[in-house]
Amino acid sequence: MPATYEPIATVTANGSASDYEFTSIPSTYTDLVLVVMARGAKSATDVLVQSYINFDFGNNYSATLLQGTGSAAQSSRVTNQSGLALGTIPAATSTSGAFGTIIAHYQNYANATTYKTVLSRSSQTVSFVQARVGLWRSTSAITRIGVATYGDGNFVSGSTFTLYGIKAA
Amino acid sequence: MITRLKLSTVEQGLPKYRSMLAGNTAFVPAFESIATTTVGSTSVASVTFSSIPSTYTHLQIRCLMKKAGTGNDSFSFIHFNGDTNTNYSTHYLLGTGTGVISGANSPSVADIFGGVTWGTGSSVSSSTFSAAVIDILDYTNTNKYTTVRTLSGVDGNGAGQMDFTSGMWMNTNAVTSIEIAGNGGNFNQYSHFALYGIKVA
Repeated sequence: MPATYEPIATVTANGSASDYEFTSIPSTYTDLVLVVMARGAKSATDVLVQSYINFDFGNNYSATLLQGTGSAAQSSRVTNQSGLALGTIPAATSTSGAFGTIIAHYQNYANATTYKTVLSRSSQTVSFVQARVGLWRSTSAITRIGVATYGDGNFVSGSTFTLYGIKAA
Repeated sequence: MITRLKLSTVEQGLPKYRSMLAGNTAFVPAFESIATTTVGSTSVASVTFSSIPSTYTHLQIRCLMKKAGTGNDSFSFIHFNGDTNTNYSTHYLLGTGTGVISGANSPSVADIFGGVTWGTGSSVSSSTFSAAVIDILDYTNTNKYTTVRTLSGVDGNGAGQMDFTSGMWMNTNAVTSIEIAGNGGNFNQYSHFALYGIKVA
């Protein structure tokens, strides 16, 4: 029986790149799930991880954030961005050994009718717990997904990025 | 530097299949698709998954939703086994982009809040759909009330919200049907609901 929830591809960072892209994504699934466990090399407590879709770097992305800092619940929004915010991960000056996790759901990614809505949950582990809903204002089917720090340094060696496909009946 | 990954060059994840030759255990997927509904050209007030098999441990519903009309945010409603009586409670935490709101409908209300839905207007276009992932745990257990948690949201590039909801059906019956109903408007064309079953070892 074919599996419904399948790994499509995975990569482990070697510390020399700030950007990983999954290309030639098959259209045969219903949803995609991107699982990231990563740390940034930038001299900062955390960095924002963003996604670009189909190599689109136009200002076609937006997101609404809900987060808890340990002392407050907050919400904010970004509009007309060049990347889709997914989550914040620890970076070089954060607790040694701490990696952040991001799980992002790209719903109905292969349809050519709707804009693409992405739900993501992330944990910076030291500072935040976050959830975001993002939008790519394009009706194109998704065939490529990039994950990047957008100039905020490389991902450290050992960071992992895995793309799964979920197939509905 | 951009590292591009192609299917033929990346290291593989879990093995997909095992040979069915004698001596090998059968490959039994843990996450299976049960049923899918996509709304056609006529909007619908609700979708229902019925005759849900009891062979799984947990259920997950993955949704893409569009509310008919021009109304702003409202939660869809979840009902189990056709029960629309005041046998539910529900809580929510949501971010509007400018503030955080928490609230509850409890105890003894007629619905569990499911994912957020949003109509079409100046702030959210007709092409913008909300998304939700709904988890229903231990749905066949007759010693527990049924618990639901939902992650949902919609962003319209200037409007929208990010939501967590949870809910409880105060009935120990096994879940055999699930209804997701619109609130303040039907579900529009291309709204999509997919039910999955999850097995444990």
